[in-house]
Amino acid sequence: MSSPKTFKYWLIALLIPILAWAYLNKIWVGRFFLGSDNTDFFYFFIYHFKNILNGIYPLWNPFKAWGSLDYLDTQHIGVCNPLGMIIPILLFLGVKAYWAYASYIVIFWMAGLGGFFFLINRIYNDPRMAWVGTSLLMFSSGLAIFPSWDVLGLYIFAPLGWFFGFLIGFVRSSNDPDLKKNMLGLSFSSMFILHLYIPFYFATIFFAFIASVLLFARKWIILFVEACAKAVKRVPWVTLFCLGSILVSLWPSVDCYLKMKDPQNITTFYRGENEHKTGNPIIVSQEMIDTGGLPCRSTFSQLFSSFETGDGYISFVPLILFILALLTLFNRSSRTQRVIFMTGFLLLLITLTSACPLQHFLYKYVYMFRIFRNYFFFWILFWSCCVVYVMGEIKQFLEVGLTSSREKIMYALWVVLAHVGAMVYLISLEDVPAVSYATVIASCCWFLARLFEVLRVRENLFIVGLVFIGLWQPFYVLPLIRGVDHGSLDYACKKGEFSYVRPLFGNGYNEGNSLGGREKYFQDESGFVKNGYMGQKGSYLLIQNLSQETLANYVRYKFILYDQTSFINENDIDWDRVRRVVAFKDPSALIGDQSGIAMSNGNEPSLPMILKGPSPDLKVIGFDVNSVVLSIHLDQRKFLVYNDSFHSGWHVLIDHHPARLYQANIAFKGVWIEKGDHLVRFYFGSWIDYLRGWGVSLLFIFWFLLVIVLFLPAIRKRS
Amino acid sequence: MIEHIFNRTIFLWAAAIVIALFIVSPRAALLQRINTMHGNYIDCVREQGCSDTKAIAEAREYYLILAQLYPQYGRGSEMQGICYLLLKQDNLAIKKFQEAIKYNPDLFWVSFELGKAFYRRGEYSQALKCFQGIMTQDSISLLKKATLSPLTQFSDKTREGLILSLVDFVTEIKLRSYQMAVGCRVHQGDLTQAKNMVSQELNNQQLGGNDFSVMANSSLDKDGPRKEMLSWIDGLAYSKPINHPWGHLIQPGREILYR
Repeated sequence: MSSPKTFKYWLIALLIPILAWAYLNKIWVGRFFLGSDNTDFFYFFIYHFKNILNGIYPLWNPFKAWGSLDYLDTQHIGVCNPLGMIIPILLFLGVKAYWAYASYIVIFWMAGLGGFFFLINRIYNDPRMAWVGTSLLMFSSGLAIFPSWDVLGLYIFAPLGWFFGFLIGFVRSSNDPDLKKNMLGLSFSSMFILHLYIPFYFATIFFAFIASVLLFARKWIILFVEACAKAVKRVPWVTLFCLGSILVSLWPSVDCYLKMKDPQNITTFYRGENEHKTGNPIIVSQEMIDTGGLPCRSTFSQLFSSFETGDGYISFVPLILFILALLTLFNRSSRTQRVIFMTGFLLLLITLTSACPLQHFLYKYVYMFRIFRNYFFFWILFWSCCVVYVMGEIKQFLEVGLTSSREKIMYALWVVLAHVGAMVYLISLEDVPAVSYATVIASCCWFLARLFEVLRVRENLFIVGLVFIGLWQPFYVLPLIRGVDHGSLDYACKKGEFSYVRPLFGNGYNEGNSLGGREKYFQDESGFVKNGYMGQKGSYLLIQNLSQETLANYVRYKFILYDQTSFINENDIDWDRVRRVVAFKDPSALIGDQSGIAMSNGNEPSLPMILKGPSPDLKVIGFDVNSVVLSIHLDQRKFLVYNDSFHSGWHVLIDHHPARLYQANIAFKGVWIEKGDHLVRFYFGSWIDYLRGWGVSLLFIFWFLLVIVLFLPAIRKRS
Repeated sequence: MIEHIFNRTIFLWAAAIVIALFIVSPRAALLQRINTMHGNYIDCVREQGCSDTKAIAEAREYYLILAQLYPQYGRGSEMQGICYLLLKQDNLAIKKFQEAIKYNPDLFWVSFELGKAFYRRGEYSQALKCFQGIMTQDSISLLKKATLSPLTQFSDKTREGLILSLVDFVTEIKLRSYQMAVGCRVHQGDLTQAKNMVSQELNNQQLGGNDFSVMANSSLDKDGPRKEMLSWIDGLAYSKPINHPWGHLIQPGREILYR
C-alpha cells in the first residue's frame, strides 16, 4: 500500500510517461500537427490575443465577411479561460503564433491529465494508482496522439477530473478550511465547464453519475446536501461568491445565445429556420447523431486488432487495462466501484446511438439530447471511467493477503487462466500485432513473479514494471493508427499571424495558407463564405443575390462619398438598383430609412467618389478592430459610406458629437457629413460589452490564482 | 438488495453484459458503421494494381462488415480475400475465398482466384479441382451465376452493356481456367492428361483458347518450349485478380443492390 505521503513523488514521476509520450509524438523534432477544430480555434485565439496585446478587447472583426460580430460562434465562448493566458504571454515573448497555440493545447492536455491524477488519488487515496491510471490513459487514443487532439475533446475531458475530485472532497470535508477549499475548487471547475460552451457532454456524464448514485449509493446525495447546508451555514459569503462567479461565467454563453437569436446576425439559428427548414433551428437529426456515434467510428474488435483501420480518435486503449479488468473479476465490489462502473456503462450505451434504445429514448424525451452531436467525444469520458474503475479494482487485487500456499496456488491459477483467456481472444481475431501477445505473456509472468517473490521486487517497482509492460503495446500500435505518421501530414508551420496592416485598403489579415484548406474562413475580402457563413445579415443578402466578381470589386474600396441618398425598401429589395450601386453606376447610396434621404446640393448628383488611397481630404488616423477614426475635408455636404458591415452596435461621432448612422447599400455603414474639416469616429460596442469581456477574463484569472494559492501549500504539506 | 447482488465484480460485469446483449443491436451498429464509411478505398481495391496498404486495410474492414451483415451472399468474404491478395497474404486470402464459396457456391470467379492461390503455393491438385470446376460448367450457366441482381431494374442500354461485360468476364475466366489447368497437369508431370485436355479443346473449341491450344499442342512434347509455356502460365498465377465487372454496385450504404 502506497502512502499518501508519496503523493508529490508520484506526481513528479508523471514526467516519465509524459516524456515517453513526447518521444512517441516526435516532439523532439518539432513536428506535430494540430488538425480538426483546432483550425478555427487557432485563428480565433491568435486574433483575439493579438488584439488583447494591443489593448483592445475585440468585439468586431472587420476582416471577416466584410465585418462581422465576434463571439457569434459558440466555439469562441471559452476564450476567457485562464489557461488561454499562456498565449498572449508567449506572443509577448516573441513566440510564433502556432507554437503559442500549441503550447496552450499541451497545457490543457496536462491540466486534464493532472485532474485525472487528482481524481484517482481522491477516490482511492493512493497516488501510486493515480500514477498508473494517468500513465495508461495518456497512451489511449484521443489523448495519446497529437493529430487527434481535437480541442473540443480536451475541453470536455480536462475539467472533469478536477470537478469530480473536488466534489468528492467537498462531500468528505470534515472541517471548515477543507470545506471552503473544496467548494472553491468545485466552483472553479464548474465555471470552467460552463464557460467552455459544451456543457452537454458534462451534463450527460453528470446525469449518468447521478443515476448510478441513485441506484447504488443514495446516501451520497444526503451527504452532498449536508455538505451544502454546512457550507451555507459556516461560510455564507464564500458560498455566495462561488454561486455568483458561476453565474458570471455563464455570461458569455448567454450573450452568444442572444446574439445567435438576433435577426441581424446570420448564425445556425437563421440558417436552420430559413434554409434547412428544420423548424427548430438547433435540433440535430437522429441520422446526424448516428454519424457521430461510436459504431460509425470503430468496432469492438478494432480495440485489439486491425489498428491501421481504426479511428485515431477513439479506437485504442492499452491492452493491459483489459487484462487487469479480467484479473479482478472476482474482487469484492465496493459501492464506489459500482457507481463508477455504472456511470461508464451508461455512457457506453448512450454512445452507441441508434444501436441502443437508451440514446433513442433520451433523444425522444430529453430535449438536451437533440441539440448536440459527436457522441464519440463520450469515448474519452468512457475510457476515463474505465481507467478509474480498473485502478480501484487492481488496488484491491494487489492488496489481497495470501497466507497459505493453497491460496497462492489458487491465485496463480486464476492469473494464468485470465491471461490465457485474453490470449485465446486475441488469437481468435485477425491482424493482432505480436506485441499484444507479448504483453499478455509478460503481464502473466510479472504477476506470477510477484506472487512467488521470484524477483523480490518492491511493490512500487512492480507497479512501475506493470506500466512499462503496458506501454509496449501502445508504443507499437499508436504509430499504426491513422494520423500518427507525421510523414503523411503536411507540416506547413502555419503562417497565421494577425496584424493591423489595413487602415484603409488591402488585406489586413495576412493568413497565407491556413490549416485544413479553410483559408477562406478568415480573410479581408472573404465575404464569400457560403457554407457555414456566420456574420451580418446585410452581407449575407448581398452574397446570396449578387455576383462574386461585382461584390469583390466593390468591397475592396472601404470609403465612398455620395452626393445623395435614395430610399430602398428592405422588405422588397430592388436588386437591379443594388447591382448598379455596387458597380458605382448609380449616383445614390441606398438606405432604408426615409429620414436620411437627402441631397448634397441642388445640382445634378455626380457618380460616387471612391477614395482610393490616403489623401489630404481623407486620412485614417486611428484604426483597430472595434473602431476607425478619420480626418476628412469636404467641399460640400456628402454621404460617406464605410464598406464595413452595419450592426446596431455601431455608433459614429463627428467632432465628438453623436451622429445618426445609417445602414447603407444593404450591408454597410453610412453617415451624412457636413462641409468642412471633421474628425469622424466609428466605434463598436458599449461599456457592457467590455465589462463582459474584460470582467469575465479577469474573474477567471483571479480564480485561477486563488486556487493555486490555496492548493499549492496543501500539496507541499502532504509531502 | 441491489448492493447485495452485486457484491462481486463478476456479477456486475455479467449483469452489464446481459443488459447489453438484450438491448444493443449489433446489426444496427454494423449498419451504422458501414453506411458512414467512405468509398475511396473500395475504389482503390477495385482498381487493378492498388498498392495503398492503408486503403486496402480499410476496404478489408468494409468487406468484413459486409460479410457479417450478409454472409450468405459471399461477396464480403470474396472481397476480403481480394484485399488479402493485394496485401500478399495468400493464406488468409485462401481462407476467405473458401468461406465465400462455402456460403455461395455460385461465385465461380472466386473459385478461379482460389485456384490461382493454390497454384502459387504449388498445390496443383487443389488448384486443378478449382479450375476444372469452372471449365466443366457451360457458359450460359456461368452467365446466370454471374448475374448478381435482376437486370430488369436497369434501362435497355445499361442492361446491354452489363450483359456484354459479363460475357467477356465469363469468357476470360473460362479461358484462364483452362490454361491454368494445363499448367497444373504439367507441373504434376502428367503430360498425357495435359495433352488430352489440349486436344479436347482443339476439337471442341468450347473454352475460346484456340491459339493457346495450338501453341500448347506443339510445345508439350519438347522440353524448351514446354518450359517457356509453363513459365507463361506461371505468370498468369501472379496476375491481378479478375474482378466481377459489377463490383461498383457494392458501395457503402448500397450493399444489398446485388441481392
